[in-house]
Formats: sequence, C-alpha cells, structure tokens
Amino acid sequence: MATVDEQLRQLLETFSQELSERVRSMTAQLLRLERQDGDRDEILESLFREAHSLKGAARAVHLDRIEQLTHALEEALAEARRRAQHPDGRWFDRAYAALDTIGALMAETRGERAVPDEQYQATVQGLLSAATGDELRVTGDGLRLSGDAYLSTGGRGDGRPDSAHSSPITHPSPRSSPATHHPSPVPRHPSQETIRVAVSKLDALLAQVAQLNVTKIRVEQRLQELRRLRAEIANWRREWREMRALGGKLERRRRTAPPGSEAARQLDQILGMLRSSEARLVSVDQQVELLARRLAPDINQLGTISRDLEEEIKNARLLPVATIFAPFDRMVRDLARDKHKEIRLALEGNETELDRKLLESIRDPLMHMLRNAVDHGIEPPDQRVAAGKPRSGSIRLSAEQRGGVVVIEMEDDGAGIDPDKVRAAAVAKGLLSAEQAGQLGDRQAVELIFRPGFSTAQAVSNTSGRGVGLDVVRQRLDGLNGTVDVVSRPGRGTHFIVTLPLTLATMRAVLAQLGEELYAVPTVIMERTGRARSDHLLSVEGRRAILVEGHPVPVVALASILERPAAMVGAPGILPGGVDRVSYFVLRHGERRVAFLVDRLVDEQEIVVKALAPPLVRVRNVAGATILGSGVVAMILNPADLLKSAGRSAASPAAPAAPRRAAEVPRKRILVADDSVTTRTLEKNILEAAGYVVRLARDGEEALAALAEEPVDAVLSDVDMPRMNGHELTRRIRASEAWRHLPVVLVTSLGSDDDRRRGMEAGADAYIVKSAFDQDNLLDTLRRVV
Amino acid sequence: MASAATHRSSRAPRGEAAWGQEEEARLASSIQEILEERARLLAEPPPAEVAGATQPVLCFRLGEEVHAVALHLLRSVERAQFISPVPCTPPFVAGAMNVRGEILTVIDLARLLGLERTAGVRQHVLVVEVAAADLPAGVLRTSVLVDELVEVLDVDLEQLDHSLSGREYVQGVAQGKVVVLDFERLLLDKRLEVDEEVE
Repeated sequence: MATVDEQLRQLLETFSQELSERVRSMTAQLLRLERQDGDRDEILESLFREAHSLKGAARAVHLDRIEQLTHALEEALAEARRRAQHPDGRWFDRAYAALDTIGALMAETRGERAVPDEQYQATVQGLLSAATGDELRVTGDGLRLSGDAYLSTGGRGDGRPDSAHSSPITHPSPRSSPATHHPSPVPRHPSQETIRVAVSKLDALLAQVAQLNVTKIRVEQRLQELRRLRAEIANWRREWREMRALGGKLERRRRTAPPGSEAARQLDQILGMLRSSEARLVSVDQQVELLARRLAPDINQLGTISRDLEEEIKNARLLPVATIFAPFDRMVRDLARDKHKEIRLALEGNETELDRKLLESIRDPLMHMLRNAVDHGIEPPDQRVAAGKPRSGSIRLSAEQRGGVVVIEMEDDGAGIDPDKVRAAAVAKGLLSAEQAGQLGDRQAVELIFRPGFSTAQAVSNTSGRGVGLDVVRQRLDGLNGTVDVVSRPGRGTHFIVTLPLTLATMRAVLAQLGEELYAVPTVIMERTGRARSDHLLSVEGRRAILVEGHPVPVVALASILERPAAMVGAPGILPGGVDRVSYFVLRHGERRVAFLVDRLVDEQEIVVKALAPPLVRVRNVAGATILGSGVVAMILNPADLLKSAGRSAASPAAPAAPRRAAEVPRKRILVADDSVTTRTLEKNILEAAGYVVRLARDGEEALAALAEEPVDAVLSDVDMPRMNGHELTRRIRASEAWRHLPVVLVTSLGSDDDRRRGMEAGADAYIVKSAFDQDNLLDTLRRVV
Repeated sequence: MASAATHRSSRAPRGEAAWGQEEEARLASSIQEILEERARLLAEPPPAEVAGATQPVLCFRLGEEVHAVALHLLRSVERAQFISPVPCTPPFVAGAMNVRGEILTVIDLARLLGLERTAGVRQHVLVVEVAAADLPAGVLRTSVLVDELVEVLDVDLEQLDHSLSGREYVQGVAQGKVVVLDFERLLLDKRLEVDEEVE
C-alpha cells in the first residue's frame, strides 16, 4: 500500500533529521569532554541521554544496526561515567568512530554507499571493549562479550544488560508513533518554537515577493501617469479659461439674437455646453487630484510591506554559521592528532547568520584553508617551543556581520608565509621572471598564492606551506561575489580575511547605463561612485587615470571591457568631444583599484539574481541576470572579472608621475541645509564628487548662522525642517541686503504645485522634487543657477 | 504523393506579397490556438493509433529563405522586443529576454546558420524546448530570433528532400522551398555552449 510506504518514508525522513541533529550535538559534547571544558559528569549524562533517545527512535523505525550501535555507545558512555579517570584518546577515537558509523548507516538507508559489515562490527567491538575497559577481550566473539542477546538480529533491546545508569527506560511497542519513543527529558530548543520548512518553499516565497516589488514599481509608474494626466488637465483648464472671452462674445450674440429663432436656440445649446463642460472639467480635475493624493500613501504602505516581507523571508533563509563551523572542531582535532601537533581551534561569532546556500558553498573553501593551517601553518610542538612559542598552536575562526557583508577571519599563530619562498616558487613555476618577482613587495608576493597554477607547485606546499588549492578558494569566493585576502607575519602567523555578501538570492547593485543598455554592478567590492569633470582625467605614462580623493586611480571604459560598440562613452580612447562630465564607479580588491567609466549611474537597488539560460553557462564579466522593474532583463556584471579584465586591457596600478591638470578653477561653495543626516550626506557626497566645497546645516537657523560666518555661492535647502523651514530661510535670504542675489535651490518631497508656488513666491531660484531626485538633476540645476 | 506537404490553414494566403501585419497577427493567434489545442490533447490519454509520418511545422522567414520548426517543440511565440544584449558572447547570441518571469537566451538564428548578410527585420522570438537528460530540469528551453512567421504546414518527414543535408542542422526540404531544421540537434549542440572565464 502506497500510503503506508509514504508514511514510512516520512517517518524515516524525520528520523534522519533527528539523527543528524543528535550526532552533531553529541560530537560537540564529546569535543568539550575531551578538552575537559565543563563538568565531566554533566556532559556524560547529557551524552548518555542523547544516545538513549536515539536508540529508542532507531528502534521505532526498525533500523536495527543503528539501534545496536547506539546501544553499544550507551555502554561505553556508562563505563566512562563509572570510571574515576578521564577517558583516554583511544576511547574518544572510538566514540567519534561510532558517531561516524551511525551517520554512514543512515546514509546507507538513503541508498548511499553501504557500510561494510567489517566496519560496523569493528565499531561495535571497539565500543564494547571501551565499555568493559578490557582491550584484551576484543579478540574472539566480540558480539557476545556482554553475554546478552541484544546484539543478535532478533533482539529488540528487551534483554538489554544492566549497566550502571539509572535513567528510567521505557520500552514502547515498535508500532506506536515515533513521538512517544523520545524519552529525551531535555528539549532541544528550550526557548524558541520552530518548524521545518523546505528551502524550496522559502525560495518560492521570495520569488513571489520579487514579483510583488515589480508590481509596486508598476503602481508607482501609474501614479506618475496620473500626475501627468493632472498636468494635462491643468493645461486644458488654462486653454478653457482663454475660451471665456470667446464665450462672452457668444453671450452678447445670444442677447442680440431674436428670441425663439434657430440661431438663439443653437447659441443656447453651445453656451450651456460650454458652462457644463467647464464645471465637469473642474470636477474631473478634482477627482484626479484626489485619486493621486489617496494613491500616494497606499503606494508607500505597499512599498513598506513588500520591503519588510522580503526582509523577513530573507532572514528566514539565514542560518547561523555554527551549522558549518561546529564540525570543524572535530576535523581540526582529528587532523592535528594525525600530524602529531597540538592545536586549539577557537570558534567565534557562531551566531552570525548567513544565507543557507552561501554557507554551503563556503564550507569546502573554509575546510581547505583550515587543513592548510593545520598541515603547514602550525609548526610541530618541538619547533614551536624552540621558537619560544607555546607548545600548542591556536587557530581562530570568526564570523562577524559588518554592514551588508559577513567577514570571516581565520588566524593562526604558526610560521606564516615566507614571501621569499613564494617568490622563488613562482619563478620556478614560470609564473614570473626572477626580475618581476624581485620587484614585488612582500604583500604582493604573498598574494601570489592565490594565482592559478601556483597551487600545483609541489615544492612550495612542502617548504613554505600554503598555496595548495588557494586559487580554487579564491575562484569559489569570486563566484559568490566574495573576496579573500591574506596577511602574513612571518614567524608569527597567517591571517586570512574572507568577505561575503549576506545573501545570495538578492544583492545590492548599482545600475550603470551604457547607451541604452543597463547593467547591474554588485556593490560588494565597490568602493565608491562619482562624477568627475573630464579634465580630471589624467594621462599617466600613457595610461589613463582619474583623481579620486586626490589619488590617481587607473580608469577604463566599461563599454570596452564589455566589448560593446565604441560609440559608447569613453571607449576605448578619449572622451568624445562635448562630454565634459563622466560618471564612474571604483572597484577595489586588496590593493587594486580601478575606475570604470559609464554614461550614467542610474540607481542603487536590491536585485534578484537569476542564472543565465542555456546555451550560456559562464560568460566573461557576467555573473547572472536580473529582471528590472520595467520587466527588461539587465545583466549582472561580475566585479571580480571586471577587475581582471581591466588588468588585461589597462595595466598595473599607475606609477606615480606628475599629473597634468587643467588650470585650477576656484571651487564653488555650497551650503546644504537639511534635517536628515542621510540626505545631507548624500548631497554632500554628490556635490563634493562634482568638485564643490560643501558646508552643512541642520535647519534654517543654522543655515543663516553659517551664512553669516562664511560666504557661499549657493544654498541648497530642504523645505520641511524644524525651527526654520526652507521657505522662511529663502525669505530671510531675499530680505537681507548681503545675500539678496544668492541662488537658492529648494529640495523637497512635497511635489504639489501649491508647494512649488509657495517656494517660488518665497524667492527660490529652482525647485527639485525628491522623487525625481538624482545626481544629474541636482548638478544640472546647480550649474544653471550658480 | 505529388507534394510532401499540404496547407493546413485555409486562411493562409498563397502569395508571399500578401503578407501584412494583420495576416501575421492572425497567424500568431492561430498558432496560439494550435498550442492551446495541443495542450488540451496532451491532457487526454494518447489515441491508440498515431497518424503516419506527417507532422505540423511552423514556417518562418529568415532573410530570403523559409525555414521551419516542428510544432511540438514550440512553446510560445513572442514579439522581438526588450532583448538585452549579453556582453562578451559570440555574435549568434542576440541577448536575453524576460518571458513571463523566466530569463531566456535569444539566439540569432540567421547568424548561427550563416545567413547574416540577408536583410530582414527580426520580428518574432520563438520559444522552443527539447528534452535534455543531462540538465536538472530534464528539458532545455531557449529561444530563437526569426524575421516573420509564414504559415503552419503538415510535412511528411519521410518525403523530405535531403539534397541540403550537407548543411548543418537541416533535416530536409519540404515543398522544394521550406528548410525544416533539426532543432533537437541544434539546441543540444555542445558547440553552442558559451563557457568562458577571464584568464
């Protein structure tokens, strides 16, 4: 019967999850026990409870081998509890092996590799000898050692031997529901109720929310259309008013027309129509205005809700890094034992949360790096003592969220990486000439370990250590829009720094425009964006560079990197005539910074990442695609690729040389008044990037005080501010003798005509509505008035 | 068996020049009907007997030539608009487009078949799907850019003229002028895969 099969399948699935949780928890507790971290009896008691619960559950789903193995583990734990001294390394090896075999037995039920009977028997025997404390007895018939039938296949555990533990044991019938089989007195999640949800369900929800966002943007466009409609009606009403004079003439004609005549009747009709049309026009205008006014808050609310919803769903997809960090503890322990080294692994920031898929993808790279640290980083105990270090080495693995990224650091106190050995190896491997290698600074030399091809250098992995597969690690992180950097302090240790975006399914990106095309550039390694006058473009030894905060940064045209038509701005040589301003973004990785020229930077937004479709598998410089609010597809660029491509087309960092600058123009000063720190900062950044000197004020009164202190060339002010608003500020400026002619630009979220009129009446020179606020608009407006 | 093909649609005009926007819109909607009809049929259990070797194909113009795709591979017909270019890809990749929330790659069929010098207005995107056992979804869905739709024909696959079979991806010629393409071979051709990395 299919339904029974289905039930059994579900039951097994539930058991499998319980098993992996218990195995994980027991591993962690064994590690604590081995490190003697905590109360020995308490840990043993807890381990025993977990083993016992697992045994009951295994019995319920008829997994005899798991049940018997768990029982043997129980015995070994009971014995350990009985003994006075701490269990030895061998005891732990056997306990760990038992947990491994339990996991393997579970995998076997899922159709994965079968567990060889010898392995199973050896594990059970190992545990039993640990339990009896007698190594010699594990020679003959190990299965019978305890003299009990429970290890024979027919046993249900009813004849379990009387061991020293005293916890009450229940023997429920195998047919009852598994829930009743969990005698576990310790709730696994004491504080939070949880349910399991398939990730695919969360993904589906996320896709729905993305669609909701698209809908929201569409509705916003409807509002814009409504506003345009109002403008249209306003024009119409103006024309209508002009018609009034004509209407007056008709009225006069009506009065002179013979009463009752055909002409009089027609004129009556026309005049009646004119009057009622005007009244209806006014009414339509009012209704449209009302509609727009009511729609705006609805849209805001829709935006808030969809944003919150998206945030919540993304949070639901996050898992603490502990889920991948925890097994590292055991891995490092085993590896170190294997290499006869003493190593302590400290895990920090276990609770830091990351997207599940990201977590899975970084598990292997992190394991790789840890293995390297154990193999080559930490020295053998004698060597460490000789070097004046503590016998036991330490590795610190930490995770921490910093803004929109998670930073994972791995630091060891081993030998570090010797730059000279790396240089030598790179030369030997033919990656560099001896001369080139000699020119590299120590930091740059150490960076060579990430180079493809370097990793295979066998000589290096034996002498300086590291390098094994680190190019793969970097590649993997590139694929996740992350980075990995290394700092080595020879003799004192190595420090790896990995950065990752919080989530993978969506990311923040800046939309860059080239001609009519839009490209999404992830902001993960974007250092800044800006606009510059074309005379800030320098030529340094034949290469182009741009001054960013006074430093020359190599510059390339995004269009030429993307192999787009040369007609697009800046590609590949000199700016086309007439273009006096360029937009750019700067990507930075390690010491390397490159500015990419684009036509325009449109917007920064959250985008949903989609994969490229067949027959596209991997495309140079492209990480994926996204659907913009308009429904159009935009390519998501791969920042790491862009940097590499730029390296190929341009060259290494610009050598210091005397920059040729156009004659210095005295810089204009702008006073910015706004009560929102975000807006102030945003405006300040835009203006400074465009070459203005900016002063800030928090409201009208502060602005007036600042004006009194220092003259400026223009004022850019918010309208709604505490103490003194923008209109009042404008009036005061106009009223004063000294600043009467000072240009004032008002920036506001209030977009109504009435508001605009009041602003103009107060004497403002220009008015920018925040909804239409972008840097081009702002800069163009300022250029007009200053 | 004078002709390997017979006209399926009575509305299909005989003269090439008669094709206007309206006709084409009507053809597109009749294709939509066919697709819907097919969906209905697919939902029913298969009939005991399958008719001979004739198979409906959609004919479309590529420059001077008329090509055809087997109707059972066709998923939808889209207007060729809002196709975003994919940088750093070979010329036969016209770009990517959003088809009801799914991002599809658009292949410029004329360029792929080496007909790029023929002038023609790329008007339609045909979304096609073939079985692909090695993909997780079990199918490979992509789209091709064509000039204009012509008609739906019933073609007898056993009566195709194979004189053009030297040309790649060609199954044969029907009615002496309709080049029936082997889309399964075309779409599953590994040489079309773009899999490149920056050095």
